[in-house]
Amino acid sequence: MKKQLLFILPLTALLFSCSNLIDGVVKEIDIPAHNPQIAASLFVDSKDSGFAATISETQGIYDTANTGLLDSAVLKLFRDGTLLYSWDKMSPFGTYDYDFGQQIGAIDGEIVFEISHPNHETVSATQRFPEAPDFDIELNYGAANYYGQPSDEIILTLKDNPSVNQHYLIEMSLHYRTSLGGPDTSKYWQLEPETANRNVSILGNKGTLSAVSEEGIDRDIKISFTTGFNSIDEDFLLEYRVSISALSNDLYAFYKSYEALDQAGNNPFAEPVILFSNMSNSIGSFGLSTTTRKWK
Amino acid sequence: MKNLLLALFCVSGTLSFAQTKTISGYVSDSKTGEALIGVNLWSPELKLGTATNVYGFYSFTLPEGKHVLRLTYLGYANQDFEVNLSQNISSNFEMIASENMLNEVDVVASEGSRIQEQVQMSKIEVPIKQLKSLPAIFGEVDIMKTLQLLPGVQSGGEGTSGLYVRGGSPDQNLILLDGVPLYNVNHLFGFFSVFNADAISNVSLTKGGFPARYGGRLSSVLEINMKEGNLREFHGDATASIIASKLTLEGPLIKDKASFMVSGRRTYLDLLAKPFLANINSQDPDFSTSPTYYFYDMNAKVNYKIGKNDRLYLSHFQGKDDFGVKSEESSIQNTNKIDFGLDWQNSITAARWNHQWSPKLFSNAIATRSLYNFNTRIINESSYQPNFPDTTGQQSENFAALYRSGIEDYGGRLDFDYAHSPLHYVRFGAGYTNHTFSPGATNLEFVSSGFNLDTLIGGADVYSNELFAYAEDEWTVNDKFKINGGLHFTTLFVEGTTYASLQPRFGMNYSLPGNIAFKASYADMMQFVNLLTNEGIGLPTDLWVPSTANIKPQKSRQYAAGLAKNLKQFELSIEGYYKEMDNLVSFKEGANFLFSLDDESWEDKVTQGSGESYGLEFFAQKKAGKTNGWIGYTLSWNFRQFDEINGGEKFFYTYDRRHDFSAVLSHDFTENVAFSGAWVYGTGRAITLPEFSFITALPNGLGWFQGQQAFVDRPSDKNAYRMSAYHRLDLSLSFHKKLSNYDRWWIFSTYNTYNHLNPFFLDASTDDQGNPVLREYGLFPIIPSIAYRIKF
Repeated sequence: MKKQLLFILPLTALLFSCSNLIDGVVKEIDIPAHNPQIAASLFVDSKDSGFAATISETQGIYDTANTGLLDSAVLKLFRDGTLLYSWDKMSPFGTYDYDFGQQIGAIDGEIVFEISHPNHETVSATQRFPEAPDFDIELNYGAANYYGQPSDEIILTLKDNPSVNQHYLIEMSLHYRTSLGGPDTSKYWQLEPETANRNVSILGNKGTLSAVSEEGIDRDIKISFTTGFNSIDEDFLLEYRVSISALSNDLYAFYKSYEALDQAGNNPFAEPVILFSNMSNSIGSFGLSTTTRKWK
Repeated sequence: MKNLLLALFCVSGTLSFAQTKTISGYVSDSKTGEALIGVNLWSPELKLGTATNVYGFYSFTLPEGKHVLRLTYLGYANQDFEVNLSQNISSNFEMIASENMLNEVDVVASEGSRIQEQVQMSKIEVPIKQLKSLPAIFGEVDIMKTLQLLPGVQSGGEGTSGLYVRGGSPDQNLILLDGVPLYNVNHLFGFFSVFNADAISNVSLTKGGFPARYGGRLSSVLEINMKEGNLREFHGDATASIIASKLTLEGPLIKDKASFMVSGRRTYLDLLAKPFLANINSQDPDFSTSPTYYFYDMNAKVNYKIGKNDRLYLSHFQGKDDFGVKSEESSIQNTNKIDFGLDWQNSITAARWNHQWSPKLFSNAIATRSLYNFNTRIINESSYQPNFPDTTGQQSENFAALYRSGIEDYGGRLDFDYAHSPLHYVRFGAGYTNHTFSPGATNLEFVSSGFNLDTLIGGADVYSNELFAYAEDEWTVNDKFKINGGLHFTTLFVEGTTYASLQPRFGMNYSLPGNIAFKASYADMMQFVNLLTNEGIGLPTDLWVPSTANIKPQKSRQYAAGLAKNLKQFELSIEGYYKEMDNLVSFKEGANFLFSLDDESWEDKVTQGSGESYGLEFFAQKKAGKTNGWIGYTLSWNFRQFDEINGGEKFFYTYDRRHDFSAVLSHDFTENVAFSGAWVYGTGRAITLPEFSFITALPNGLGWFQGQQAFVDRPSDKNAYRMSAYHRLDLSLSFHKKLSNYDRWWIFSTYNTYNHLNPFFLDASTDDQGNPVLREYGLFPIIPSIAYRIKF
């Protein structure tokens, strides 16, 4: 009997599991419910003369109903508790625009961006405009090598702002005329910055811009660029124009995480990316930058 | 620490002996002559003991005079010897294997070998006999899968061989095969480990309370020793299972002086599949495919007793996995050939020299080499004949992407055991390792009409040199109190940067009333190698990378305390632990390593953070006897925190498992029929799911035009969701028969006997009606298997 049991027990277990086997090794599980929330984003530079905020409603990945941009929101900007601007109209382009006709400038104080909507809890984020970047430009004509050809070299020295992490977005353009009295033509190019400063991270090229950052160390940052142009060959070269924006810590964090998101694409093997947020509900972003432009 | 030791010394009543003599030598198996590791030598009169080291050597210093020495070892008959210690003596003992393991009396732990008498805590040994009797997937006994059934040790997921010990990751386990670190222990993408149980003599896992002699990893030390080979008779052991066969041979080269052991294993899935593939290919003359997969491994060991005081050992292990798919598609004008493949291989070699300098001093010198390589290839050749059959104007394109990564170590170490007195057993030593890391390089070749590219992207080799030294003392303070204190110093030279660390280690055992031991330990650990892994894929594409000038070494501090007691035939223990880890390495959000074609180095893709784990482990084990096995339960919490992941917020580690339970049972019904079963349960793995999407504005530079908006998918917070719980029952039944020239076994087993779907991965897709669905995919349904074994 003992021996028979030895065979009967495993056999019973096998037969019992056959129905499961037919079902295969796939199981559907409950989709987590999603509660829609406001997703607000606004990025303002000191040189801007208007705002364009995007207000949307989150949509569960597994929701079949389409939602998206959110109408009827009220947007407010406060400085140190005092209301500066309030606006509530969404443009045909899906942005909440506010135009005040002149550059806003790097306003002092604590700036609060607040969004309210009848169907959602009010959300907000707080920022300060960073100090305007202070930098020197050194232009060395034909001093660099660009794929075997002599090229102008620009060396930027970004002055340190003590105890503040440095985050910059750099853009350069070349302005020239092809003939005397011809039109002023501008040319942008992809920057390929190089630096010997350790700990300076170069976030990569955002089109014709380059983001540069250094955290935790108080010192000037020196960055060199090979422009790809040789002024000696240009008869009517006018000038190099350099535009540098100091980014708030949060805005830089947004750039960084968006780049990670972009890099991940749809690669299933990439680590998931949570887009940076400084809003009170952890969705969306509010960022400020202060820009300085110089010519050489 | 120094003050603490001093205080302990002063406060405790210490034992002392005026005149002492030392008895030393080796303990071996009476039938095979092989050294026995961990044999307990006990003086019942003095209640003092020692144990043989991993080479079977012992040194026992006792007061001058006559003593009875009791030798005890699991699976062997206890033996008493009377010795007269009027001078230092050398004596080798042979122990007789208990022929009748059904006799329960033999398996009751004896004084000196009981768990409550050992200082070392958080260490588990699984007897090879017990290990080989457990159910095995596809009939292949797997050491790593058995270790996953122990408390405090978790598996990564269905079928994988990685060990997650007390909240650590697999790279934090120091896996030593005959004293040599082994970097990749996976066969068949992790479903099997590289350890062939037939070639193994001893397995022990230390999860905490690390003595000073161990270093280089944060979470565990897994020591596996190969068999030395029978010194007296020639023997063989062969097993054929449904996917692989293995053969082990051992015997004397010079009787009682030199022996060998060689063991090989190979899968034959590729050979079995050939007829089926031939049939498929014959159905379409324009298309052919030939997927192949195999793995093999080979263990070999030679040992030679040069004289009374010297022994030499040479060990080698070699293993390889090779997976590939070749396909060819042709038409009148076009031909397209694709060759995709990946292979990885491990190899270790060790040469050891044991020398007994004096009755009290024993040394082991070892020179080692360890190699791990991973290669991937994608080769595409295509040709086009626009004027077929005329070959004029023929165009061809060849593309090849070859990815390689690996690590190669050369090292040496010298260890001394010094049995200073009955109360002090001192160990000290030093070692050096030279590492060469090849952290992933892609060789791209592209040849087309008028274009030729041949370039190497990324992955410059990194060289580093690691040194360590240690000293520890196991001190019997009095008959109730023992401690093991020590220091481990380690330093790394890499890229012009030097890292150094002095790590205190401490363990203690205090005997409470009722023969219950209170044990506590503290260990400070540092490690200089990291395994970069994308959570969830677990392929061998995971990269071993070193600490560098920019990537700091991982560190941990582990505190543990618990109670232990032998209750008749059972070892019972309950332990609590708390572990902090710093400088852990993880991929940044968005990063991955598969064929990275940009010029970023791996250092740019990783970030460092911290970890924290704590828990409670309960373990009841019966190691031998007619019925044996264990019950283990772990309640634990496990977190990670990285500034650049999850918005800097602390999150559950993906292998955080609140409850982990295992019950393992082996039972010999008769001398020839044996049954075993194992049931495991674990909380589901923590995972990140896509959660919602929204529209965001993009600041200057991130879009194609000013004011551009973008749809963004937002995953859940890191590891905020759980897969379904994991549970599985494995059963095995074996039938043994003794024939005239050999013994044979038929082994029947079922893996996942009640066919539970244990999730391997989760996927979001749509059903037939287009509605979104979340599906968990399992890997293994019930898998019955059969194996045939002979031993001669």
